[in-house]
Amino acid sequence: MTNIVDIAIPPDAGAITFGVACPASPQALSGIVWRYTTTQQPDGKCGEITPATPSVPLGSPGTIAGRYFVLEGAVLKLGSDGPIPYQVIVSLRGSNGTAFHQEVPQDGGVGTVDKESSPFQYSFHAV
Amino acid sequence: MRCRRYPHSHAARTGARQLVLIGLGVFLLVPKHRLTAQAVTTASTTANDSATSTRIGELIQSVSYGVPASPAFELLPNKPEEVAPLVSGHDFQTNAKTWLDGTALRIGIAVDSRPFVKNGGSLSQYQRSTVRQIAFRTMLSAGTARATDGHATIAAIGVRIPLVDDGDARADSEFVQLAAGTINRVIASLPQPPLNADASFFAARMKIADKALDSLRDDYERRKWNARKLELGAAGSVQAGGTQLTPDSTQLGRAGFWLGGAVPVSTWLQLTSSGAMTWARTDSVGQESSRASGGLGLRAFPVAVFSVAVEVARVQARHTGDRGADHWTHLGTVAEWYVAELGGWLGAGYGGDLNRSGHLDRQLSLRYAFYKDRLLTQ
Repeated sequence: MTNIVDIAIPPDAGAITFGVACPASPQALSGIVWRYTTTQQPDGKCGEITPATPSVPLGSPGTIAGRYFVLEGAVLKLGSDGPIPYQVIVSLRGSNGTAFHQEVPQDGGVGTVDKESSPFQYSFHAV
Repeated sequence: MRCRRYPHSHAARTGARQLVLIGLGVFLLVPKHRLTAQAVTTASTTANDSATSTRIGELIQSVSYGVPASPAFELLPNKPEEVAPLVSGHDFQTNAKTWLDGTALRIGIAVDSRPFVKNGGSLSQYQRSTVRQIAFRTMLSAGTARATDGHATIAAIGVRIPLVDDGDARADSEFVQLAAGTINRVIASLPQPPLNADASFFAARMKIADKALDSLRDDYERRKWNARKLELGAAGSVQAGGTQLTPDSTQLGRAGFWLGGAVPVSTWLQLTSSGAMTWARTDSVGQESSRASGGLGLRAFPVAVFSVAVEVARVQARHTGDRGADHWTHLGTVAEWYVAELGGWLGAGYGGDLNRSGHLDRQLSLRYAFYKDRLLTQ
């Protein structure tokens, strides 16, 4: 079972964005951010992560309070260039751009891309 | 490098046959010209067997073209069949500690790694910086082997530096964005995962999505088969009298330097150029002590069922005890086409070494064979 991280959202953070980066390795990341209700029921797609759009807006602290989110991400295998290491960092930022939470996902956040794309996941609960 | 698919349509076969006739015409013309210009030229044909197809392949492989994928292995008596890919330079250092058993060097080591894999920066930094791209793509290779005398041990280390590579998918922001969009499209088409899904659930979905990326990667490699490239390679080896690496028993063995480049002429035609220099420590008079070569080549894949390669190289070899150097010109031309009715490739090769003194293969020859796996690949 995937670990779900409780993240305290500062009430004055403004519009919240969720971002993914791989700062130390030239890896291409993709992902779908799924949204869940406060009762953990599926509530559709929240946004898409691509190299050109590495973050997605989640909403204001009030609208996301109590909700759950899951990033279903991938480190892409692009060519036949052998094993390449990676470390993914996810972050939550307020409207001023400052990250109030950063973390390496426990599920697949560190690894090596070799013969196929590598999945990683990050689940969190906005509290 | 991968083989093209074989179209079996009537139009494709008809077009291929026309090209085959043109190709044959070229082959028939070239020997006549050479027969006139070079009195030593002869033409010979041999039976259709695997040995002949091997010899046809050798026409375009006897001179080192381009930079070897792992330069160090070029200096070993036999190229290793299996190479252990190490992820980083740190892994390389760690692995190197296992090469020694006391002071004895283990035999059969073959590894390669990217020493600067952690210097590539983020993807956007990588795409903006040529220096980061060169550092990231640089490959270090090392290997050990038993010398052909059965006693001495050879250890080699080499580096390949791809200075220019327009076929680097990682540096192509448009392709990267397309690849990410493809994965996302597949994932988004699947039902939303339950909140408590485990890693194996997501891994299974990723396998489905990655299949969609396979065709995109294959298509990219096909489109970029003749992308502009420029590479440097260098390697050196030492030879120890036994397996003990002591200063008294170890001496320099061989060294090599390679430079290779390629440019696209059209979507189906590639022009390559190459230069190589190798030096070897010699024990007795008459052994080859150095060799330098440079040449040009053309590789054409106009249709999936027909391909042709032409290579010309000038080679100079020096031998211990000889004041002068041997010079010769190597010519290699190979054409092959897929015969759908027979399920294989009909290939013809013309070439050899011109004016190579004291060598049985100094004459040009024409060979043909039928074989299952094509010799020329993109």
